[in-house]
This record gives sequence, structure tokens and C-alpha cells, in this order.
Amino acid sequence: MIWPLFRYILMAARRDRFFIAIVGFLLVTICLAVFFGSSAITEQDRFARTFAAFGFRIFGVVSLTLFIVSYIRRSFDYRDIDYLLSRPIGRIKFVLTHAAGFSCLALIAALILGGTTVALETGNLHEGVWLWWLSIAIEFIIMANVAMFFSFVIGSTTACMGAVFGFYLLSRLVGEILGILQKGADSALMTALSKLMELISIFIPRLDLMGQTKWLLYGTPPEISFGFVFAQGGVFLTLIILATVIDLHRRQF
Amino acid sequence: MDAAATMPRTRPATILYLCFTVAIAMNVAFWLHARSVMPVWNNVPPVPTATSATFSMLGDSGAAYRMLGYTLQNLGNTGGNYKPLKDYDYAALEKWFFATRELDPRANFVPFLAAYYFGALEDEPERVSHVSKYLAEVGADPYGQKWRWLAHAVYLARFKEKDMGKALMLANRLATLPTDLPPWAKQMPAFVNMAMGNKQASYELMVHMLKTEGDKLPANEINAMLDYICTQTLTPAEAAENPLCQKHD
Repeated sequence: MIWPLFRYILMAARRDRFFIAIVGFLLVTICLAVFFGSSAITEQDRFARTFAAFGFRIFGVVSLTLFIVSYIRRSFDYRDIDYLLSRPIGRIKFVLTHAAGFSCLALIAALILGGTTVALETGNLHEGVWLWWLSIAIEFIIMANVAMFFSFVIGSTTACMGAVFGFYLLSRLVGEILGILQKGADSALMTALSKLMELISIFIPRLDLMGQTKWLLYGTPPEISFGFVFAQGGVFLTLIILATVIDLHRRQF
Repeated sequence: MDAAATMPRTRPATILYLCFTVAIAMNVAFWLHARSVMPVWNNVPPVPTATSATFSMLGDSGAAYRMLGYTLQNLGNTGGNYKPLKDYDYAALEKWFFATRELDPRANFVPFLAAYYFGALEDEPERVSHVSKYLAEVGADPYGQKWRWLAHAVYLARFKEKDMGKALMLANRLATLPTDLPPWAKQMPAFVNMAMGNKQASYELMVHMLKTEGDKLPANEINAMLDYICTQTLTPAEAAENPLCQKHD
């Protein structure tokens, strides 16, 4: 861990007004959620809580990944990375410090957005609320590190953003896709495609099993536990950080 | 005098102004055509599957339920013009109800909408049967006070569809539900068989429900029930004398 670099990442986030953007998204989401909720014929508070939690999750991921991709691509364009790696800093330490810095930002975003949801909970703070908060924190950390990986690997900012959002969509929908595949394929082509999709899904985190708004209303589902959420975070973060280290290790500057 | 103001207008500038004038004229012409074009209501749209609705909300079935519910609530609103319920395709509505049930079987938003909004249709037994079919299924779900929707289905079958056989069958189903029911719900089969008038039966059912379940139901639902009693079940004269309605006003 390189502390000056870690602090530099946090300062860059502050300079880019990342935290102000998070608070702005928070206010806009609350206003929209309350507006839509109050126009429902009944269960207004449930509508508002569902829409707010849904919005916080999306805006959290979008603001984090946008910052990380633009920060890393800018560092490449301005030769900051070339300069830093010419110093006596190991590439592994370099990647791990970035991973720690971005994960810290993800935790701050989860603290602000998730904390607001918890603070606004009108009912009792049951286990489902805590599980939701923990799972979006881990989702934010996963997506921050995925954005870091794609930013190191892909040279174009536009392509990088496309890859990150494509990955996020796939992660959120992979459960539904696997469900469709399990119903069976009716042709050889579909069978081959479903096998391919199953292969891809090995490397995609199951974000459909994280941050479900239903948990806020009805509590913890029987199939998901705190252990499951931690395990998914641990397994996938290890994979994505190692992949970033390997990519940077092989890269010629 | 400013020199630039006295300069003759150049040819490209004239063409530019001419194009701008033509653009304004085209806007006006388009507006003249578009002002009479109003959104056309194509009745209840085809129901999305639970999977596609979940896809549209990025895998969050709870949020997908709320979006579909919101769509159902505002279905007949075409640019501020509300379509009467009798114009709705209730068979398609029933499919929407069941799609939402797949997304969130615990929520009470769509059952509420079905019972007190779509079920409020008068003299349309065939249409109302789609609502009671849905409420009968939802009412058997083992969550909270869901059984009250089955009780409402009994009421719809008995007094709006005038289908005694169906009402009795649903009442028996309600009475044998493996859940904690108040005595009046267990006596529902007898209630169906009573030779009561439509209004009296409706009144009894609603008042019983308010008395035994009022403290467990959301305020909106209690208000909807009071409104139903005071504006649909009772005549204005009866409502004026009824203490429930005076409190309601």
C-alpha cells in the first residue's frame, strides 16, 4: 500500500467533485422517489422507499464508475502512470493501492447513499435493511474494481464506459438469463449459445442477488445470507484485482 | 451612427435569414397539423412477462412490481383524459394482475387497485369476474392479512357477478384457510347464503372488516373502505345519518 498515492486518489475524487455529485444524486433521487411515491393510490411509503433504493443503487454505480474510468484514462493520457511506474513502486503495490483507494470511495458512496436509506426507514430496522446496505456496499466495491480493470485494459474512454456498463447490466440480469437458459433450448444453435452464456456467467458476479429493494420491505430472503454476500465479494474481487495486476505486469510502457 | 448598422446586408446573411423564416413557417405548419393530433388509447396493452418486467428494472423484481403497479394505476390516462372503466379489456387486466403477483406476492398495491378501483364497476359481471378471480388467488397467499382479498372476491362474486355458486365456493375456501381468521370470515359461507340485500351485505362486510382488522390495515385502505361505504353502499341520506360517514367527512 502506497499511502501518498492512496491519499492522491481521494484528493482527485474531491477535486472532481465526486462527493458533491453523490450528494446531488441523493437529493434528486429522494425528490423523485417521494414525488412518484406520493402519486401512488396506496402504499406510498413503500413506493418511495423502493424507488429511492433503486435510484441510489444505480446512481452510486454510475457516479463511481464514471469517476474511476475518467481518472485512470486521464492518468494514462497525461503520462501520470508512466511517471509513477518509473519511480521505485512495484506494479502490484500500484494496482493494490488503486484498488484500495477506489474501494474506499465505494464505501463512502455506500455510506452516504445506503445510510440515507437506513435513516429514512420508517419501520423498524430489520435484518433485511442491513443486508441491503451491506450488499450495495459490496456491489459498489465490485463495480469500482471492475471499472479499474477495464480502464487499465481498454485504451478508449468511450469503449471502457461501454464495457463497464455492459458488464453491470449483465451482472444485474445474469440470474434471469440463467433462468431462461434452464428452460432449455430448441435448436442446436441455441444450445451452443446457452452453453457459451453459461461459461461467461462463471466470470460474472450475481449482482441480481444483491441490493434487492424487496429486502427493505420484507426482510432477508431465505436464500441470501450475510455470508453469501461477503463470499461473493471476496471471490470476485480476488479475481478482478488479480486480472488487473496480471494485465499491468505484462504491459510494456 | 454605427458603421456596421449602415452596411448593406450581404447575400449569405440574407439567405440565412430567409432559411430561418422558412424554418419558423415550417414549425407553424407542423404545429397546425399536430395540435389536433391527440394520443389514442389502445386499451390495456399486452402484458409483459415477469421476466421482461424484471429485465426492464435491471433485475430488481420489487422495483419492477412498483413500476407495473404504477402503470396499471395510470392506464386509462391519455394526456389528462381518463377512460371509463367499462372501456377496459378486463381479460387483459387480469393477466397484468397475475404478472405483478409473480413479481411480488406480498405487496398489497395491485390487490387494492383491483378491489377498490377496477372492481368498482357496476352492472358488468363478466368484467368483474376477472377481478374476483385474481383476488381469490391473491387472498389465498400465506402473507399477513391477504385473506381479506379473498373476502372481497366473495363479495364481488355474490353481489356484483350474482354468481352464488362461485361466491359459496370462495367463501368455503376462505373459511378453511389455514390462517388466523376473525369469526365473521369463518362464517362467510353462511353470510353468502343470507337473503340480504346488496347494500346491507356490503355494509356488514366492510364494517366487520374495519372493526376486526382496522388497526392492522394501512390508513389509505381504511379511507378507501370508508369511502366505499359512504358513497357506494349507502344512499346520501343514509350516509348523512351514519356515524362512520360523519367521521369520514
